[in-house]
Amino acid sequence: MKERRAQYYLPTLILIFFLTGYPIAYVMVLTFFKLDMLTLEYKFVGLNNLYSIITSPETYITLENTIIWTIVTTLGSLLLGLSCALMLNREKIRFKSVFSCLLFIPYAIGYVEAGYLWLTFTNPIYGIFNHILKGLGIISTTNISFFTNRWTALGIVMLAQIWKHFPFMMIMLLAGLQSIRKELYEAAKVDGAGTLTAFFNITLPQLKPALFLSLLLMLIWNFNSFTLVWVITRGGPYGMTHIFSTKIYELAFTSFNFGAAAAFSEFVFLVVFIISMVYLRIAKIEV
Amino acid sequence: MSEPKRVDRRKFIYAGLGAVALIAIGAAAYVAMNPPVVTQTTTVPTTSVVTTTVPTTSVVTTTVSTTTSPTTSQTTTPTTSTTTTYKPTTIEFWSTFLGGGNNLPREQMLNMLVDILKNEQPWLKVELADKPYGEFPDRLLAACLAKNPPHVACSMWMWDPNFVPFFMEITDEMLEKIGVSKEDYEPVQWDINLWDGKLLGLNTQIDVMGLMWHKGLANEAGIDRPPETWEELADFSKKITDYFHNKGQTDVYGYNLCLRYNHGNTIFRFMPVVWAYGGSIMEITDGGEVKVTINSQGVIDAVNLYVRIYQKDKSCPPTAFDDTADQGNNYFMMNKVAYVIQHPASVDSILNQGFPLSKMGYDLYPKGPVRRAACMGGWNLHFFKDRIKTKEELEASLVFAKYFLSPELNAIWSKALGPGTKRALQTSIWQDEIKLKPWRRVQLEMIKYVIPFPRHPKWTEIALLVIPKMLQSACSGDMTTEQAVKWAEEQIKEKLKG
Repeated sequence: MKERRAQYYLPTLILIFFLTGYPIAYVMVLTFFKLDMLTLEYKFVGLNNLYSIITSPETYITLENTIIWTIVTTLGSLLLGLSCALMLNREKIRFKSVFSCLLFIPYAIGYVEAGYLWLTFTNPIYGIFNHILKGLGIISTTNISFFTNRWTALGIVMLAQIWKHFPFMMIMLLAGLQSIRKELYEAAKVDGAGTLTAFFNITLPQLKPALFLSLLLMLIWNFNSFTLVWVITRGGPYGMTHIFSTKIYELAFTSFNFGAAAAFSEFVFLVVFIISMVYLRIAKIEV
Repeated sequence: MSEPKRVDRRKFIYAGLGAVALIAIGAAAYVAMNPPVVTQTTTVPTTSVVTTTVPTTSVVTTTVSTTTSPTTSQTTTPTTSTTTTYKPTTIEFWSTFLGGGNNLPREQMLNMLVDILKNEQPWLKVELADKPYGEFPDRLLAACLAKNPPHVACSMWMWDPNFVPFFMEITDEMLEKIGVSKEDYEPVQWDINLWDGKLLGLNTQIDVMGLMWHKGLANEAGIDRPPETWEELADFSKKITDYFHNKGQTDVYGYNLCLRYNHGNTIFRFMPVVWAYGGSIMEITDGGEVKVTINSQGVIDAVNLYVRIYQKDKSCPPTAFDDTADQGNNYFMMNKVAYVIQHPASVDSILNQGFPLSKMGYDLYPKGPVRRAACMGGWNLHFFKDRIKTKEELEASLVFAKYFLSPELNAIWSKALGPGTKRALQTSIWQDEIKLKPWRRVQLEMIKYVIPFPRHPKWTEIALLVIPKMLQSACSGDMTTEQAVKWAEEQIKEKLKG
């Protein structure tokens, strides 16, 4: 019986090799070469591509941006998603389905459209963002452009990303919340537990499987995300809002430096792989 | 757990034989429906005789001569008729043509072309692929690197030699079959497709811009003519900004300064200023030697003009670091910006959206102390050697190009931007266009001021990353103009070293 099993998994393995293994291997090989675009000749450059990545100050700005971006957008989506899920999980809330649909809209909108929407929101001449800030007394003039400064530009793109991704978190966590047995809350209430106690002792522990899965997905998606940064800032101003994905794209399709882009990609692959392994190990222990 | 059901060997063999039989029947049916050889008569669409005179209307203020666009023309394209035997052939064509707006004439032309081919060349099937404008070069490059480009593509850039190895050289014999020659083009249109003496593309439409100015805003601020020089543009911009800001309208500005990082609009609007001040970024000798010339007075003056508009006068929208020309159009239509460097097709588009003609001005670029200068964009038809493998595919691609560049179809195609061949310009389609839209003549006049971008594989990177970063650094005050230019010089030298 044992020797026949190959016929079942071999086709899948071959498919996986061509769809995933070959591109990864190709990227790894490309790291050691420089492609001359005029002659299409590959020139062996050893570790030069990796060296140029490691020694470039732009890499560390990109790394810093990517870390901040990943943490802030993941936590932001989690907090907003969890808050909305808790709100929608309440029994007494009216028009629950209407709210659910409205809150889900950002996730249904395409990334490019969302990018342009946020560019419009934040435009100092006709956007609403400046007017809101002015109304709140945070700024005194309506003519502030958020995209002339690294941190305000990055802040706006992160807000857009959180806005775009929180509905996914909300739906996942809402499903998790709805699977928690009501008897647990009733028993806690009988024992005199308050809302906060119930949240930390019942809701959160019961929510762990859904929470871990959605957090892992969100972490990987945010780490790998590209579109919103590209549409909104294109890495500007001064190339200071690049995250890994946009930097790799720029290296490949603006600088035509495919070797350096491959080296960068490998680095990203390695980081995502390590994060996933560590996370899955923790999740396995915790859940 | 139950044991997996075993696959019966006999059933497996029968199933395999059945599948082979089905494929064989399908292939036979396909061959029966598509006979391998047809005899076909080729007829190229003819061009009608045109006699027109070009009027001047109020949109264009500057005196524009019509040296490039003949006011009276009599053109007939001879009808060629050849009998050729071809195998049924399918070719793939890539361009950007869907979505309405400026794409509409292109979409109309391709629909016409497909219909004509269906009737006149039934052996030739063209698969049209519409690619998004902004992503076109990247997608094409990815396809080329994967050795799977289309047979023919009409692409919208003219300054990137990184595609050189993928393009098929267009020989004299091919040109003869397509039915165009060097004489059909303005010299700059022809030269831009030459690389190392080889012709690698054929221009399908030229794109030279002009200065779109808001007569409503300018007149209200006391300005009744377009700026003649770049310095005057900065003066007028300041005057308009000050006038409206003093009135309490603090969201009205003079000039749409494009400084977006990694965006083509930035370089297309900056280089004419550089050239006008006598500067250049790099110079390439005939021997291929590259001299970095960015750290020169002309470039410093051009950057200083930008710094003045952005930092000192604040006469451009504060969104300049993120602005594109499209954003400029929005501001223009909302009466928020007075001057935008734009394509004439954008004037059409803005007027179509209800902007009053009386407030629209479209004139030549301002000039600098040295010259008046403009960049040239446009679209070119290219053939890809990794895809055109057989004689039939080559013939099919050439026949397709012959129709594509026939005067009338080329005239419809090029209406979206600017004329392609001279014969297209002489058709009634283009002459009517000029008669109806006099701002088109500005574009034709600007052709003689065109200066090509340096043709170097590193130019894209320099143009999209280094120059915008230099401009942003100088305009934000992070660096002085001299520091920014020096920084850019070092960056360019570094990049050229590879």
